[in-house]
Amino acid sequence: MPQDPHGHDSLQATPLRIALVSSFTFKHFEKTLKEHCAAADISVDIYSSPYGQYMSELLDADSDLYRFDPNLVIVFIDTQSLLGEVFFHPYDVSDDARRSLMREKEEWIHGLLEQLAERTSATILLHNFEVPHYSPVGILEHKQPFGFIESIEELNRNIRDAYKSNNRMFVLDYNAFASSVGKRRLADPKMYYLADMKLDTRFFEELARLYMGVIRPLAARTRKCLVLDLDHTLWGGVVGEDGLEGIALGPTPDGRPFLEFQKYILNLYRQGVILAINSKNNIEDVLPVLRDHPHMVLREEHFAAMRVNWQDKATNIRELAEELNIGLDSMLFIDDDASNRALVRQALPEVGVLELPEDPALYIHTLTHVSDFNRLQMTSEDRMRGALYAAERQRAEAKRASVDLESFLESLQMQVSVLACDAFTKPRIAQLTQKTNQFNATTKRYTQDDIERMLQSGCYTVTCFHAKDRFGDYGIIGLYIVEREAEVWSIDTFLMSCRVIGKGVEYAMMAHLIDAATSANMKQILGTYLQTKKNVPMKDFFRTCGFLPDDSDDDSRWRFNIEEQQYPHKDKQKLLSDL
Amino acid sequence: MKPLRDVLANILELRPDDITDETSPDTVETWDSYNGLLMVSELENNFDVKFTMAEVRSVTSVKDIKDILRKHGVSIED
Repeated sequence: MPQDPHGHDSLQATPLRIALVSSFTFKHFEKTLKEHCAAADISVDIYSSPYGQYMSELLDADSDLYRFDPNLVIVFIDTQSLLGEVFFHPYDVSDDARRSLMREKEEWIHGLLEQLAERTSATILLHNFEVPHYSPVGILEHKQPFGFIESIEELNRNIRDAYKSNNRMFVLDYNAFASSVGKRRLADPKMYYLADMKLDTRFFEELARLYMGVIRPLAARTRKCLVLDLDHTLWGGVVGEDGLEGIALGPTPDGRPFLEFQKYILNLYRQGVILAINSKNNIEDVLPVLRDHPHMVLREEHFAAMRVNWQDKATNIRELAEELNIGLDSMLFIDDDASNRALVRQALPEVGVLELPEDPALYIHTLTHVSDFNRLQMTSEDRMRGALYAAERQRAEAKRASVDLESFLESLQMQVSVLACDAFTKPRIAQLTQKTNQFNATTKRYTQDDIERMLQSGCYTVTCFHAKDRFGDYGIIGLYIVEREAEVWSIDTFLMSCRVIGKGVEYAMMAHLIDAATSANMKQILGTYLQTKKNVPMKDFFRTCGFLPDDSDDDSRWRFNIEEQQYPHKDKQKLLSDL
Repeated sequence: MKPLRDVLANILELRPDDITDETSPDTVETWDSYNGLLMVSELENNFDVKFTMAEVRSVTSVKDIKDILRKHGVSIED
């Protein structure tokens, strides 16, 4: 089975340091945020900038904020603090004056964030600004050449556009948050006047949930797999009793909540979420629904694993985790039955359990609130994950049907394409060096900038590989980096995603490397194996590729003499093609 | 609904038995402005009431809190 590419070895040696930088009284929020982090098993230190000092904290290089050395800074400036008196008297100034004021404010924000980005290595989450829901000029507000409301909307738009391609800065749509909970109720008026609290404590939970969508991925706690019950969850009724025709699913009042719920789940799948079934049912009753029900949105092909049986659901989840080779803490369980949820909560506390409301009409709203699957960066390989795991299930079925390994490999019709390092492949190349643990010779972690520097130096070759077989596309799954010298190539990095281990791809990659070195008239290739706790699968790789150890007692240095030695897996060259 | 004593004791980091009518910001160090605000929202949530600004301003001791809660129809034992 595929290996978990986001292994939890990067897990928290030290608490994640979160700084809250706010223009009003917000310190009480710390408690709520701590509770949410604790529930996600993420250890955190939280710092709040002192009341009224957010600006000096950001501007002063010696401030406590910078001394705290945050990993995440949440910048929460409210519209009124941003604009001062103009907030109360927007039409005391001319349109032109308002326009230039807004431009000034926008530059001021960018300036603050630039300082913040320079002085820390933190990820930055910036709240956008609440757009007022009233205007002193009433209905004529939208007839103004540059209205007050329009000016805040434009500010939000500009802020969003400015950070679109910045992978450290994220904009939190606070205006949308304020609308969703209700702008008129956003602050408790007496607490605002008494203590400058601009957000009512009753919305803290909701906001903390949004923050968790950033905190989870920063702490490597993003969930990956949605485990779904069937009866009363994906459709109404019980298929075992009501039959295929009797369940509620389709364009009827009873069926639409389930139909639309499935549609939203399909979106998650397309964003890379792995889907699995955990249902108390007979498989003979379920398969016809998955295959033939005219309104089923989620089909057999979307599920990476299924447990349809009469075992308890916690045991099933444990088995699913094993089969998919992912951690229990990367799973979120959805079941309408409160006793199943309670059982899983108790037996497997790591598993997330969605508190599904009783009314199916509310299902989709519950799921759209979930931020557990958030990522801060998305490669096309991430998006394909759900499909990859589902295809893997079909491969495993094919493997059971094949007689021997070689004929199985033949039947896969694996194709490996060779790609250079360019603007399109570089993000994935960096990601692979960051995340690959098992089949990785040296476990050197590189950023995109590191890779760029290597290429610029002119001494390195960076080559990556894309694989697909008849069941599906794996994306870019492997790479090597060699340092070129006069007569020798030294392998700096040789790695491959574990999803494709045992399918001949690694030998095709080495065939490409040896062939390239031969064409460049090299005499030797040097390999290095740096042992870690996780890269045991790599241990014998150089030996099986015909490399000889430099020292028979040491398996870290390997040598391949091009003129004298034969590569034992030359046949795997046939898998290769240039794209 | 938790008893008043428990709500206050939890915020002020005291034992419930240490809370008396005379407990006030002057007698208890932990009753600072931060915890004072916390108290408002915890009491509102716990007893499902909404205080006015004047009520919040008027509180000088636990006795005042009891009087206000009674005014809101919450039955509080002495």
